[in-house]
Amino acid sequence: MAQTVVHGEVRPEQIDGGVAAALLESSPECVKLLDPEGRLRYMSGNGRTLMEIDDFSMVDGRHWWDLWPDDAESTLRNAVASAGLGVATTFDAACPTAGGTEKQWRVRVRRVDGGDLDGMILASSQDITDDVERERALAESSAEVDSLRRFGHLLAHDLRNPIRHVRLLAQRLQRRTTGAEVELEMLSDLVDQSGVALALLDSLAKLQIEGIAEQEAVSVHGLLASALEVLGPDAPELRSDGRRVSVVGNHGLLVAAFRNILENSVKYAKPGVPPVVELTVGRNEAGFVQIDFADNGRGFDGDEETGEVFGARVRQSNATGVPGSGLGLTLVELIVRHHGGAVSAHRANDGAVVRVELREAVA
Amino acid sequence: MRPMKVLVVDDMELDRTLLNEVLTDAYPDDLQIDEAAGGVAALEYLAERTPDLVFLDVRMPGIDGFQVLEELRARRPATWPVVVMWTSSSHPDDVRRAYEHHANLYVQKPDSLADLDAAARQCIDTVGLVARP
Repeated sequence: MAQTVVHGEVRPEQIDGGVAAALLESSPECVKLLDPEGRLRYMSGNGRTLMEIDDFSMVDGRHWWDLWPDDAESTLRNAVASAGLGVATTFDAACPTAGGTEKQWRVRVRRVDGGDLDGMILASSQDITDDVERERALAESSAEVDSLRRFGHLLAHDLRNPIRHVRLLAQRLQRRTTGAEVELEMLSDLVDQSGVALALLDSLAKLQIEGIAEQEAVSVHGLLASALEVLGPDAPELRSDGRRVSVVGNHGLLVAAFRNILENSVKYAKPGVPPVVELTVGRNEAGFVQIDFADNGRGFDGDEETGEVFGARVRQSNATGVPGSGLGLTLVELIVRHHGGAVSAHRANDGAVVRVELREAVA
Repeated sequence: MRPMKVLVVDDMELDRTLLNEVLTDAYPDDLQIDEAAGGVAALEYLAERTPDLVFLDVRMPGIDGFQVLEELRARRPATWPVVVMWTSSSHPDDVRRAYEHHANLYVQKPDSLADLDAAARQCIDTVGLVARP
């Protein structure tokens, strides 16, 4: 039996053996019955709770729009008039509760046809405050992402120019120099390295514009070979289990990620111990390719459970004397995540293991 | 045949120099190359002279390449020079905007001297076929 909550002259619990009241009271929305002139005759218990109305007699018989801000009056009058003509309407509007809490409502207004409530106006208001707030936050966050993307693209563009100039100048010198072979080799390295940087910047710029970099099937060993080539004589010794596998990804971005992982093994090598990285390729239960980079270095600090090791601007306490910005692993995480993959790190008996999981390319 | 008049508009001196150098090496007697170090200088130049071909950078301080292009295309079509947008930007919005304002070609500045040489030659050869009396 529905609880009696009615203080107005309309008593749904006395209609249809209490069925009408049970239906009205079961709604989570603020349900009201108005007379054809728009005066409040009934409000459900949930409605009084939502509107923070302790005593219905305070509003009983008042025009519905008198409870709303002035700027909503014409909307409500029109809705009631339309309902009286048999036309149901829905609108969104803001109205504070009796306690002054700001709320957003989605209101549906229609006429009751037939039965004891025939001709009454049924107004049901759904509290959409949280939805509106979520939409606003989402729009704000989308605007921030767009703004960051624009900034990222401009940054990539501005970085591109000086690197392109370095490359062109190096080529100009190559054409003119009559220097020793070692100088020509250095110029050649300069041309190659700046070319790699430009390719990476192009991938990043594309990422900023489209939100996704161009992806294709790329061989893991091909990526590693490119990363080792970029590192040149600074590369660690790489030992592989020889398994050949391809993943779906952007070549330039993944080479940058792998290069950073390999470079870290060199940066954090134990003094006097040549850096070695053991590569193991497998598959996890989700069908992702799992690539483990296990090194013989100094390991890392930071909570491996929370992924602190990947936090931006966090440099390891054992990074004293190690060159770099500390952004390497953060970049790795961003790139791998962008590919829908995952990256984690854990300590091993001897050194650290960085695990990268990427979608396998189906042949 | 008179030399082809080419205007290189770029706020980056190195880019102007490299393009000028490549063009001069490739066509030592066939081109008359002038340079403008920005949008304002370009408009001043274009107020008095009409080149056959303009290499036009997009992002320049003050008056940018699009503003120069709009000004050029506001003139009588018979006096329109061929305009090659010559820029580091590969942003689709920039490409679209360039063609909306009737640029003839949009070229991302090449990253190597060989590509620069090839792209510049292609522009000159094309203009030589269609635009020079």
